[in-house]
Amino acid sequence: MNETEKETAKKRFTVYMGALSCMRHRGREFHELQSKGELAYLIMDEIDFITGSYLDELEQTVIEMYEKHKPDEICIAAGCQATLLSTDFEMIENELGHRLGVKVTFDRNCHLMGFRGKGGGHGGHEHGHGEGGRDRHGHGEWRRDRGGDMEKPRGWHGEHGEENR
Amino acid sequence: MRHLFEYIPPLRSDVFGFMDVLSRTNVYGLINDSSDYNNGTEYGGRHAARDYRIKVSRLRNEQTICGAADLLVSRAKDIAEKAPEYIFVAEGPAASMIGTDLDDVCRRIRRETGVGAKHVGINGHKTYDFGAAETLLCAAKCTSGGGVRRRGAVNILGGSTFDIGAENINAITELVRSAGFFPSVLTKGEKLPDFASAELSLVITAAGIPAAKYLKENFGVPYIAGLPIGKDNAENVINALKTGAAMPSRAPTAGGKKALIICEQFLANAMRDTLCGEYGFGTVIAASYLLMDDSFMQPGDRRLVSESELFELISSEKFDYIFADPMYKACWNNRGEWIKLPCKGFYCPTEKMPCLVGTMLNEWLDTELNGRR
Repeated sequence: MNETEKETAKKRFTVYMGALSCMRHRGREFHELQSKGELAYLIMDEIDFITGSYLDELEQTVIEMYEKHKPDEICIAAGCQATLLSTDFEMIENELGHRLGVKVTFDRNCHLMGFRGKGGGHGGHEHGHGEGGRDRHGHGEWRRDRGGDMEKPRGWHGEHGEENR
Repeated sequence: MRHLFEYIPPLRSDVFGFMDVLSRTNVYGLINDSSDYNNGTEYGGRHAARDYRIKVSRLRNEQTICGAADLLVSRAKDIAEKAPEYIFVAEGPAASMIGTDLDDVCRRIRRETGVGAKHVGINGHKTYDFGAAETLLCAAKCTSGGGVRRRGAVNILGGSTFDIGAENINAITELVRSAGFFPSVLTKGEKLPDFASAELSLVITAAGIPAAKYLKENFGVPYIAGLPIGKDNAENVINALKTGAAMPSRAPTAGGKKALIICEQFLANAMRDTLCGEYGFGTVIAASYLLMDDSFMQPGDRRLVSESELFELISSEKFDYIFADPMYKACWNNRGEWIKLPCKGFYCPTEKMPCLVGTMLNEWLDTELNGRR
C-alpha cells in the first residue's frame, strides 16, 4: 500500500455546518456519505450565528461524533458565515485535535470570500482527500485576484462539471 | 442536539420555495448570495438553472465592506432587459448577515429600471415551504382587484414541486374547472393572476395560508382550506366551493388502526380524513418538519424540529402504518408497516410524488394497503 492508498484508507468523518441554504451544495454526494455514517449535518439558524452559540454546538457535535464513530480524522466543512464571523479555524483545529487525539481539519468552503479551502470545499472526500489550494480534480492552484474572484487554474472545468452547486 | 442531523438529509431552503413559485410566473427573481442555486441533477443540474427565472448577485468580499446595493441594482438592470412583470428580491444566509436594505434596493430598482420590484422576506434559513408562502404573499400584494369581482373565479393558493408536485396542482386546477369554476393559478410565462378580484380562494397547502389571509383581510376574498385528495375530500371541497360551507374534519375515533403520516400538513390532513372516514382507521397523527398551522392541527399532531423528536415520536406509540418518504426510515424502529409516500423536498434525489387527486388517493391506498390490512 503506497502513501496515497494509506491516506485513502483512513476513516474520515465530516461535519457539515451551515445554514439550510448552504446544504444545497453537493446534495447527492453528501447524502451518500451521510448514509454510510461518514457525515452529519449541523444546520444552524440566524440566532446561532449572531450569538456565537454555533461554536459550542460545533464543539459538542465533533466530540459526540468522535465518540460514536471513532474516526481517524474529522473534517469540518463550513459555509460563508463562519468566515464572515472571523472564526478562528486554527484554534478549533488545534483544541479539538489535542482533546480527541485525532487530526481535526477545517474545510473553509467560502464562495463569498472566493476560496474553496482544503479539499476543494467538499469535505475532502473526493480525489485524494483534498489538498489546500487545489481544485476538486487536483488541477492547478487557485489564486485570488484583487476583486476577490478566483482565477481559473489550467484544466479547470468546474463550471460545467459541478452538478449541485 | 437540536441542530444535528445524522440520519435525515436536509430539506430544501426557503430560497428554493421562492424559485419554485417564480418558475410558474412571469416574474424574475434576484437572489443576493455568493453562489448559484439549482434544483439538482434530477431537474437537469446546473444547465437547467437558466430556466428558473432567477439571477444570483454573486456577492464577493468587497460587498461585505461596501454593501451589495449597487451590485443588486446592476444585476436588476440586466434582468430588466428581459421585460419581466416584476423583480422579486430575496437573499441567502451569508448576505443576510451583511444586512443590505433590500426595501431601499427595490425602490432604486423601480426608479432606475422602471420595473416594479418587491422584497420577499426570506434568507435561506427556513424550509422551502416558508419561501413559497412568502413569495405567494408577495404575489398577492401585487394584485389590486380593480374593484371588480370575477364571478366564479377561484384562486388556487399553495402547492409546490417539492411537496404535492406539479401533477397534483394541475389535476386540482382541472377538478376546479370541471366543477364550473374559473381557476386563477400561477402559470409559467404568464402575468400574475388578479387574485384580489376572485370570488373565493382555495388553499391547498399550508404555504397558501398567508396569501389567503391577506386577500381576505384586504379585499374581502373568503377562503376555504383543504386538499381535494381522496373521494370524500374532493366532494367536500367542491361542495364548499359551491356553498361556501366549511370543510368538515374528522376527529379520531376509538379503535381501528393507528397511523403516522410525515409530510406536508394539508396532505397529511387529507390522508387522515380518507383513512379515518373511508378505511376505518382510528388514530392518525400528522407530523412535519414543514409549516404546520395551529388551526389545522389535531390533538397528537407534531411539528418536528430536531431529528431526535422523530425518533421519540416513532418509538412513543405502536403505529400500524407509517406513511413517509424513505429518507425518514433511518429513524424507524421496524415496528408496523412503512408505506412510501415520496417527497421531493430534499436536496438529494427522491422518487416522484404520485397523483392523488380525487379517487386516485383511494386507488393508491388500495394498492399500498392491499394485503397489509
